[in-house]
Amino acid sequence: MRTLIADDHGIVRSGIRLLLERQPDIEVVAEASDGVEALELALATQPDLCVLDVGMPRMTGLQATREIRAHLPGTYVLIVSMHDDERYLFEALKAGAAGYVLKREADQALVAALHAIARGEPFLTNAAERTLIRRWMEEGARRPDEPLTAREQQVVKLIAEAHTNMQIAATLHVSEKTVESHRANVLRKLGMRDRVELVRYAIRRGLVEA
Amino acid sequence: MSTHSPLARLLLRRHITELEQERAALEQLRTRHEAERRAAGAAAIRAQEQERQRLAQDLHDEVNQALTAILLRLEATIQEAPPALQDELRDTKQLAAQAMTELLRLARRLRPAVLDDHGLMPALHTQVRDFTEQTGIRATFHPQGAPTRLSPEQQLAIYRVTQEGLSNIAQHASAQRVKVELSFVGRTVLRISDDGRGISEPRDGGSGLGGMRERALLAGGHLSVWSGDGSGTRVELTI
Repeated sequence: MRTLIADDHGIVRSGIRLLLERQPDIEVVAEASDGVEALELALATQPDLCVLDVGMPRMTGLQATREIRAHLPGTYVLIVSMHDDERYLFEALKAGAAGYVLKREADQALVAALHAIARGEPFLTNAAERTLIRRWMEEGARRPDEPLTAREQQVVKLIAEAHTNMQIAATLHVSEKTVESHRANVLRKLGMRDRVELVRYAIRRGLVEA
Repeated sequence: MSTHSPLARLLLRRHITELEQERAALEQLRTRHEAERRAAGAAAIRAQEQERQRLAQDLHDEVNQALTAILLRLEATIQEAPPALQDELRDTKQLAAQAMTELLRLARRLRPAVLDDHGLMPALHTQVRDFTEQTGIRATFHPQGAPTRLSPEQQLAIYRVTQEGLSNIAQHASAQRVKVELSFVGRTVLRISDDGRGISEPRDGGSGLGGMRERALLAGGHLSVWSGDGSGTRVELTI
C-alpha cells in the first residue's frame, strides 16, 4: 500500500515513517509538512492511503482531506490527532476521513487502522467508537426526525392493526373522542389523508409487521 | 444657630464647606482606587489566561509531539527486537503513554482546545462529562438557548466559574449529584447546584469563591451563593 504522511512536526513524521516501513505491505511514497504540500504530493503520487495530522499550517488536515477525497476518490485518509474531544472526531468523519486515531494511541492503532481502511472499512479506536455510540444514543433518545409523540405512535400502531376507535380507546384507557383527535393530529403532522397511507408509514417505521 | 454671632456663623459655614470638600475628595480617591484595583485584577486574570494558553499550546505542540514520536519509535523497535527485550520495551512504552495522557489532561485543564475551536457549549459538555468520569459524582448539563451575545471574556468566565465550582464540589462537598444549568433566556445565568453537605460560611472566600466573584465582576456580572448545613450548595453567576 503506497502511503503519504503529513505532519508539521518532523519528529512525528519520522516516527510514523519508521513504524510504517517495518510493515512488509506498506511503502511510504511521500512526506509533507503542511496541508497544501500534502495535497500537491497526493495529486502527484496518487497514494492508496494518506496519514494526515489535523493541526497543520496553510491548510489543515481536515481541509486537505476534503480536497484529496474530491480529487482522488480511490485514496483513503486516516486522521491522526492530539484531540480526544468528540467534536474533532465528527469533523474528521464529515470531511471524508475513513479513520481517526489519537496520537497517544498511534503506536497501537496506526498500522491496524491503515490495514482496515485499505480494505474499505472505517476505523475508529475503541474510545472513539464508544463516543460515537453514546452520541448516537443521546440523539436517538430525542429522535428529532420522529414527529409523533409516544402516545400517537401507539395510536398509529393500533390503527394500522385495524382496530376500531372504540377498541383503541379501550386499550389505551382514553375516550373515543381523544382517539379521534390523536388520529387527526397524526394525519395532519404526517401530511397524510387516510388509513392506507398510515399503514404504510407504520410498516416503514417498524411499528407493525408488513 | 441664631444664638451665634455672624462671625461665628461664617466660620462654621466655612468649616462645613471644607469638610464637605474633603469628603468629596476622599470619595473620589476611593472610587479611583476601586477602579484601579479592578483594572489590576482584570489585568492579572488576563495575564494568567494568556500564560495558561501559552503553556497548554507548548504542551500540545512540543512535549506531546515528542512523546508521540517516542511511542511510534518504541513500537517500531519492539517489532524488530529480540523476544527477551520486547517486554521491557513495552513497559517503557507504557510509561511514555501514561506521561502523555497526564500531560494532555494538564493541557486541557490549563486551556481546553475545544473552547477555542468549537465554543463554550461543547466545552462545557465535555467538562461536565469529564467531571463525572474522573470523580464518579453524577453531573448533568442543562443548556437553554445559545450564547450569541457573550464576549469571549464572558464565555471564558462562565467556563472558569464552572471549573472552579466543580472542583470545589469534588474537594469539599461529598455530593452525589451535580446539576450545571446555563440559560440564555433573558439574562445569562449559570447555576451549579449539588446535594452535598453545604458550606457553613458561604461568605468565606476560602474555597475559591473569591476568585469566582472576581471573575464574575470582571465579566460584568455577579456571583451569588446559597448554602446551608447539609442542604447542598447553589452557586449562581448572572451576567
